[in-house]
Amino acid sequence: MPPRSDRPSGDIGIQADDEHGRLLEFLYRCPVGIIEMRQSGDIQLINAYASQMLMPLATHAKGADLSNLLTLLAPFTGEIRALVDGAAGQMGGQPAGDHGVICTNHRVHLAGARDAGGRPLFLGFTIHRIQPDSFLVSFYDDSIRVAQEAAIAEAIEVQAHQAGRIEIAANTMHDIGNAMSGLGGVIGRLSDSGQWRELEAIRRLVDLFRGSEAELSHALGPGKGPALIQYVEALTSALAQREDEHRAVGREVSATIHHVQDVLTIQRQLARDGSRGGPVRGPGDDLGDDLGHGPGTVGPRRILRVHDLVHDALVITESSLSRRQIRVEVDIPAELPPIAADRTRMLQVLVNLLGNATDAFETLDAGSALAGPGSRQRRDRRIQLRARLAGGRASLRVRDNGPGFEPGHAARLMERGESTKPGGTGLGLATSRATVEAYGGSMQLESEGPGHGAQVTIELPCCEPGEDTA
Amino acid sequence: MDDNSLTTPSPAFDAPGLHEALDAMSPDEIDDLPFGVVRLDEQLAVSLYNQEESRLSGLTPARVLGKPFFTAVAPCLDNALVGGRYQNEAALDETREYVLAFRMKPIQARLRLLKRAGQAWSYFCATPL
Repeated sequence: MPPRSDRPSGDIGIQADDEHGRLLEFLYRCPVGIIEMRQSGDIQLINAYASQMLMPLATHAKGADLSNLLTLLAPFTGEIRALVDGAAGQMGGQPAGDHGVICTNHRVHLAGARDAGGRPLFLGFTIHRIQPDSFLVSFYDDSIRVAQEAAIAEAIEVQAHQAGRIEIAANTMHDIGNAMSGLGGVIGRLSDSGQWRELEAIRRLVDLFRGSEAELSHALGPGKGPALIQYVEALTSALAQREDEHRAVGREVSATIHHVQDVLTIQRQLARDGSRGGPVRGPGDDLGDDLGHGPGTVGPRRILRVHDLVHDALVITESSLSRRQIRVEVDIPAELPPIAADRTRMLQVLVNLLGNATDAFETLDAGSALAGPGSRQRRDRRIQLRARLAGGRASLRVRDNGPGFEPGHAARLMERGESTKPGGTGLGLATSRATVEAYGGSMQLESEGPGHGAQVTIELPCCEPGEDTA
Repeated sequence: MDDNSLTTPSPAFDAPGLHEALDAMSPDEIDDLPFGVVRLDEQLAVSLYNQEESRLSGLTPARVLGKPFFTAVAPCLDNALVGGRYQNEAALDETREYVLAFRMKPIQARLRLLKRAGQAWSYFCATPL
């Protein structure tokens, strides 16, 4: 049965003056725990918040006991007792030592206790001695702040780790780069050395003999003269062939070294872009680095043939493409006019696009929902690079038959920091687009939907054939 | 009141049917009880604050009526042991020991938490040991 409606019971008048009630209410609502206690810990006065915070710690088999703060805290920490006893001992002998600050916002961990959110409980204590045996203890819940500080510290450590690893990688690449330069120099010297002088000398010797077949035959025996000359000629020819092979090997090694240097250049640039703290400086780096520019700017332009760019990019990514059994189809007409751009930057862009397409196939490897029996099996993975002239601009399309994505997501994927790749930073697409746009071009990312592959279309202004950059 | 009628003895703090008894009593009768009684509405605001509770806390009913009990009137109860239970549980009938900060003194007391499923109001009772 519901109670009859209330009527105000009137002012009870226990505390007749309103100011007293107001003060009590003020103290009840104070959101900081306040306790007045003796040095022993016996509690004289306690406010509501202190009771609220301490009751969960005080409750045990015998019932609730909040008569002594230090006894209550003992199972969790001895620090407050130590502070109070230590300071009191120090102050005890001094005439003016009846009062003073014992600690301010001193953080104490209550081992084994949890706050309302289940976090390890930390309290911050401010303790004043107000009389020889009277201490005013004020405290608050610091647990949330401790948790936040731990999260920040962890994030900083992760970032430092990351920066450290990028720095190691950059240094390693710098060292490899130097070694490559040294090797390139050696190979260059071998290749540049002219035709073997010894070979030339032998040829002259043969010419010398040629006029003296009769004398040679007389000295060595019938028919031996011409035979000797033929023999030496054959030997010379074999040596000349060996010299050609030697030189061809030198050229191949030289080309490989340039390839490695290209890879290093690109990867070092990607490492710089990837480290959030800004460019990672390797030893010997100055502001005029391998590109002659800092990050975010574009290099000097050169006339570049799209066909050569694509070929070089494919050379760089060759091993990762073949490892995933991705077939590449190239359709670039020879008469396509060249573009004007920095070769290394454009290589970076193409390597990034090829890398994205390659990584897209990776999600199929991981057994995504799209990898059903009818979808792209390993043997049917394709990346198609097709270039055409379109309104005075070279249009290069990189299309893959990988998983694709929701059509509406294109803009989001191009934003810095967005990625569908596990562990991807999403920086590649944004940087590539910035590079292309800096050269007066455009980049577009499209997909007809999941399971229908994706394509990137880059357009760049063409040069007149024969145009030169200043 | 009729002299010949039998007055119902006021319920004891530990009485099993305390909740029903309180429901049947008038505010004046609840005021006469020897232990503190607070009735809370559905939002856990104070709808009744009896004389004994007022004497213990030093707060007049006028000061507390309509205010959220656990956060604005008696914050010493605002934890999982007491206030949280009214918020999270549909029905309560519990007695527990607790130290209340009545007028800033540590007062050892027994609490009775009363809530019935489906009913909009609930009771909080307290008696010093």
